Amino acid sequence: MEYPYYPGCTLKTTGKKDEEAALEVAKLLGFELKELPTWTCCGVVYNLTSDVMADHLSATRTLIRAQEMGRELNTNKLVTLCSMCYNVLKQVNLMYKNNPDKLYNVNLFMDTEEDYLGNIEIIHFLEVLYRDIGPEKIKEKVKTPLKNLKVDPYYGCMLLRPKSIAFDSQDSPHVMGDILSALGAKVIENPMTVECCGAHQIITNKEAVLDCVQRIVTISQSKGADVIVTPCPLCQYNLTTAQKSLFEKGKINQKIPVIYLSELLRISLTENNENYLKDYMFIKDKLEDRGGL
Amino acid sequence: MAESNKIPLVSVFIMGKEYKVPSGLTLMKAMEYAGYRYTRGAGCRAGFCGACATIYRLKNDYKLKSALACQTTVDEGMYLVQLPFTPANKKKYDMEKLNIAHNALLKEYPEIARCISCNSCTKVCPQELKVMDYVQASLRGDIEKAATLSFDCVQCGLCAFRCPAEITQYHVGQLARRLNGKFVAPKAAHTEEAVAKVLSGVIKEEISKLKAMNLAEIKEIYKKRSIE
Repeated sequence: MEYPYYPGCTLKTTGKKDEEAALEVAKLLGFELKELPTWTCCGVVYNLTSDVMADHLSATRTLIRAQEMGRELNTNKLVTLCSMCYNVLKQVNLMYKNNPDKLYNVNLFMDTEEDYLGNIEIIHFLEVLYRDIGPEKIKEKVKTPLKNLKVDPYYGCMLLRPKSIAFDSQDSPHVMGDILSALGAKVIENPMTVECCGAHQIITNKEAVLDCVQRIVTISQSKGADVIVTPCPLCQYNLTTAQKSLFEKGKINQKIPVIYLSELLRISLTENNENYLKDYMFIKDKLEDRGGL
Repeated sequence: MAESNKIPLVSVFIMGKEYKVPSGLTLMKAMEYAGYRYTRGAGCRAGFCGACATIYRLKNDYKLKSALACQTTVDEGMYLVQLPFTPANKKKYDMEKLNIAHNALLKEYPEIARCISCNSCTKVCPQELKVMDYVQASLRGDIEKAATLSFDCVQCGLCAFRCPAEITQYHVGQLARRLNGKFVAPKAAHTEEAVAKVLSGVIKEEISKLKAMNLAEIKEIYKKRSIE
């Protein structure tokens, strides 16, 4: 199975690790993510102003490109890896479905592209794993069970808010937990799992991000997690960089590693995973039942 | 001259005033035929320098079109104007102090983050470049792609005129090509050899020999030169 795939800017810069791992995981599970031949930024945030159409052009262009590639691959799905891109693309798509007049207008404006017909379905990589492959099948393909590893799946907000675009329960999501259980990991329940990491505030109001992250990691640690797992590049970035500041300020007494779900999947689905484990010696220790300190 | 051999005239409107000019003239020639003189906004007259970017409109068409005035011929009912210069923002930078980190272009031209992908730049480009795509490539730090896509840019500035995000695309592309040349693209071996030769003084010797010759001697070696 081949899926049209939209990376987004972050996956090509600060989130490269996520893309590399996810593309390999896809192959290991028997599907392929085919990058759109040309794509633009998603728009970064979904503009809630009801009469400003210009801010939706970026996402619309991507939907058209997905429509073109979808014809070749015989699918109407477009897969994203970044939660923010997922959120923006899906909200713009939904806006057109609910407002055909806006779709008509935008098609008139974009006179160098084919019309967008409104039929694309935006899905996140997690949905492919959970719905199209399924935890049972993933379990069968596990080469290295993640036994002894206590993982805290952290969703952040972009995948589950607003309700109209959420693909899992907004209060107690289970998709990531089910996949991690299939890999043999012990899944921690953290009530902060759907709280915001502070998102773009990292640029304008770093203190706000520090507060958010402190709450998230403090509970994660008190529950005994070895690692926080996230599908979102912005959450990964914020959780990692904010912990450094919090640690320096003495607001947390230890740091907890934050890695992409795709990375953990790759470690678990490959036999010779030495190369992938070299940055994560603590995981190696757990897998080999060495307790650390 | 027989009536039938006469070049037919077409009506054009230059800054709103009607003129009859021979068909087949370029926009630039038509303006000159009508009595205008270019002191700026004209250069090579061969489509390479990008100095003569202009906009025009055709009768009964709502769209403002764009062209290089030296490369496009007049049509009946054309509305013409002259754009002398684009006063666009151009950063001064020291190539020795730059790098190719993913935000290298963003640092010099942060306004590229304002791109909303409206594609106005691509639509206006007389070189038919994918301007929006190279701005987007710049945004995500893909210097090689930005350099390749903008390679045929003649720096006419029309993209910057049209951009609702006030990006100076053509200067961003130029920086991308410079960074690509310095850090990404493979070095040309023959250039390095040539530079080494220059530095070794071979050319200096030849030049001083030429300088010492009289006119007849120079004529003689000119006649004997090898022609590729």
